[in-house]
Amino acid sequence: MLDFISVGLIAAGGLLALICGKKARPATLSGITFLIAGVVLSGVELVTELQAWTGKIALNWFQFPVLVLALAAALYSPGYLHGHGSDRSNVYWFFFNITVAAMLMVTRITQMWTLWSAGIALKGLVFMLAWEIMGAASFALVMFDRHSQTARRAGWIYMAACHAGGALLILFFLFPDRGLLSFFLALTGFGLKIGFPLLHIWLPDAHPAAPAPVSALMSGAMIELGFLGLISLAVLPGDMAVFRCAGWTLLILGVCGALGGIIFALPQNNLKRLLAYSSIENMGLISIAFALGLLGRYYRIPAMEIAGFAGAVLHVLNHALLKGGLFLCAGSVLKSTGTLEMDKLGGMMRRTPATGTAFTLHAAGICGLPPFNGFVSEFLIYFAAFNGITAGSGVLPAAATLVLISVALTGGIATAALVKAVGAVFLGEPRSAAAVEAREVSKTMVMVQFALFALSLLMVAATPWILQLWGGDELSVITAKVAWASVGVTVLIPALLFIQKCCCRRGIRRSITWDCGYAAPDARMEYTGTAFTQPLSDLFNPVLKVKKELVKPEGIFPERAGLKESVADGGVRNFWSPLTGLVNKIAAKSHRLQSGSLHFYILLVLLALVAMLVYAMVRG
Amino acid sequence: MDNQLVRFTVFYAASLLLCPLLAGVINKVKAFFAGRRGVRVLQLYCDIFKLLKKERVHSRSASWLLPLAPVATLALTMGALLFLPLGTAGSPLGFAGDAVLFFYLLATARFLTVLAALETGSSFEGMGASREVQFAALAESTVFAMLALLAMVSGSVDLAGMLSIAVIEPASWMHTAAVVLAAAAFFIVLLCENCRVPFDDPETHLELTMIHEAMVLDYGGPDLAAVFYGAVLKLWLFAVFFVSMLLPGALLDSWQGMIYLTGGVFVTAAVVGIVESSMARSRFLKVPQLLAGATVMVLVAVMLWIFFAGGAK
Repeated sequence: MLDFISVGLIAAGGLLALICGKKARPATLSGITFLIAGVVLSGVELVTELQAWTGKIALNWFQFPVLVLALAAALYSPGYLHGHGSDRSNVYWFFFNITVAAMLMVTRITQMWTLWSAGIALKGLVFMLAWEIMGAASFALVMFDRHSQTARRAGWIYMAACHAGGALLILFFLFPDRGLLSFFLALTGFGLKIGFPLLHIWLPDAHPAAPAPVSALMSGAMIELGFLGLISLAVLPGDMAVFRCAGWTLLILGVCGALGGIIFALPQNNLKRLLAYSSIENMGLISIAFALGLLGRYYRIPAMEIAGFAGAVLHVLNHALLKGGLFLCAGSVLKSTGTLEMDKLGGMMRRTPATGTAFTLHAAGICGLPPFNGFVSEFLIYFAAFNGITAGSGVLPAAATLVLISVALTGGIATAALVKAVGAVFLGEPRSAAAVEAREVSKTMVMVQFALFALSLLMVAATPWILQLWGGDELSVITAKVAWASVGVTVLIPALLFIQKCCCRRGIRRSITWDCGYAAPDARMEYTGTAFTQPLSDLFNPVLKVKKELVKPEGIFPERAGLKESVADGGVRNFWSPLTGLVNKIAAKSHRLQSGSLHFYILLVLLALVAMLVYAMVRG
Repeated sequence: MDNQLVRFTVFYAASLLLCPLLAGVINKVKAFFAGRRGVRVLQLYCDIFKLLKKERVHSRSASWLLPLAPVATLALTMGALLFLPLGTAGSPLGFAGDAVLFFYLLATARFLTVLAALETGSSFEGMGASREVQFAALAESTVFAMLALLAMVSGSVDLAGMLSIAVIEPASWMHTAAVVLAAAAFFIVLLCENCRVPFDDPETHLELTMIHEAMVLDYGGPDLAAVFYGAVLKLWLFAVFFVSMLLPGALLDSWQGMIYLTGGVFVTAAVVGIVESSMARSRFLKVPQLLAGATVMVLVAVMLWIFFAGGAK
């Protein structure tokens, strides 16, 4: 019940902010205070419900990313909007609060689904209301930078995807009992929100265009709500046949999404676009985890089932914290330098050390590296796959082997992409004046970034307890050992640093980069981000089809030389562009029907009448 | 159980003490093939002690990552060594799925090394770093394919069970074939991850041909000592993994087993030296083919196992 009160509070805060007019301070205050009140109320209700959740993975856990990221994004927003549209704060806070309220409503309705004794039509209607309001409000936020051509285009594509998803979901709620048909309707409907392969094309445009706190909220909390809807409304109520179909479909979609997403992240030059593709990759990993859980349930391998589902929900939580932090740091980079092009940045670690450190830590987490929390959920996915190999029969061991290879390859490429992001933006020497003159952002923004990371570290320690709550005792013991190993290794590092300091009597001297004796280093000599990922991009070029514009140096004293690379999204280039081209061609052909000649229209009316007569005669 | 703990501690200490000898063994083998006498077997110890006495010089372009990386890499490698099983009882810290933790600790070490290389703002380090991440991404898939095969053959999900298998299994020729293929693929990964020919030439001083050596160009003194020691400890790690895969787990459960394991590690180092002497470093464009070939080799073994040995045990 508290949830509905908090939804109302947050929405009221949004409305109050809207009527504040052009003044930024009252709008921000009303938006934030009501949001914090709502979040606290919902959080209190969530925590008090903890006792009821033992023994199974309750869906309530999906509310955590929403609450935490809503709070983090809200605290980050005033600093971000300062100078970036703070005169339209009232509009921002209105749509932000409405989005958060709608997201909370979606989570609450999904939790209450089985308890609520109304017809599927009424339940579906209320769900679709909340879902569509969430989409519409976030569309307004994506288009917040309304004068930018890219933002407008991104908003338009996002709106189209939301509406298509909404239409498919309405069909799903109309035909909930048709077995596989219902499942595929829900898969495509929710898949448009999650970002499954081919349905993902709005993501790489919408996340960079939106303001950073909105990107964090969308990427960390909103797209996961698609999984909440898909699993709880379409899959779990079904029977074993649906489990098997869902399991294999989600597995294939997950592998394609994870590999495709991270391969397309490699050549990106825009920092937020790289992070958006990384989100697609992580949604693929969550899909793989859910698939392993479902297949574990179908093939009756309990270890695989619990590891799969637990890994999926934990990855949702971990991804929310880490990706939220990454997007907020990217927003700080934009505030400090005014650009997100990685080939124009560099050396920011010495100018904005706090943002740089936070970004590096979050990046290490999202790559799935121990000792951070991203590793724990990836570990559970691997564990589920290993159990599939040892305990499975038939085609399951082979599929699990391919899953292992895909997830490992994804992790390796993700490391490359994230190292590129950290290295090109923060390390080395600055490549442009914007990077040289960067200044650290406000203290609140920095604290929010680090707070999200502190929560991630807390997740490492909390995971064994959470798994115990979910009834996975064996997994709880294993993740406790992983947590202790992480702590041990982290403690070993300062110990060795201390020993090294004792061994080294002569102190540290600063000098220019030795670089094999070249005494005049220049920022133009260092590797750019594009150059860094060039070997991997060239390896995957059949998929990427990178377009290169090369200006070769000519003559003995060349004056100009340059290389520009651009990558079009694979789904757009291979599927949607040809499809829309085909539709346009057919539409152009059917344009001939609109000839403007009255005689032709009368002929058509006559033909239609004759056809109806024939039909009536045949039927009668 | 207590005896196991004592043996593990002794082996851990022995690993930390003996690993610089591996570099000496490899150099001696290469010198033998080249008709030279070569440097002393104990040379790396002397080098490390010499470097510890020198001054640390850091680039002005660098921030906190550059001083942290060598020691953190060493700490992570030492941490990974803690999970390497000794015999069927495994490491005292082992648990189900610790193979993943083992390889991901090494991945974190690589993450830090590559970031520290990019800190200097130099083209050579950038070049080495970009090639390193490419090879690592492909090697990861080979490693996990091999782990999947080991899980299938041994029927267990923890490192102790996976490495308890032996290469010679009288009852099943498919078992021997699978383990031989897995071991061959892992040897290729060993050469790749430890920057040996045909992936990288540790002897070269041409910057355009270096990978690992390029990434550590700007280190000196105790930092470089930590880098050298960490590199040779990683080689020890991979060699122990390789030998444990080939020897039966029951054999390594005793004190003599430790002697066999150490002997096997030195034999592996000698084999690495022979491989380094008999082939040239392959072109950078051919390296992905080599690693993908290793993955395919393991996948073939997986398919054979599924079809002929009837799936997992």
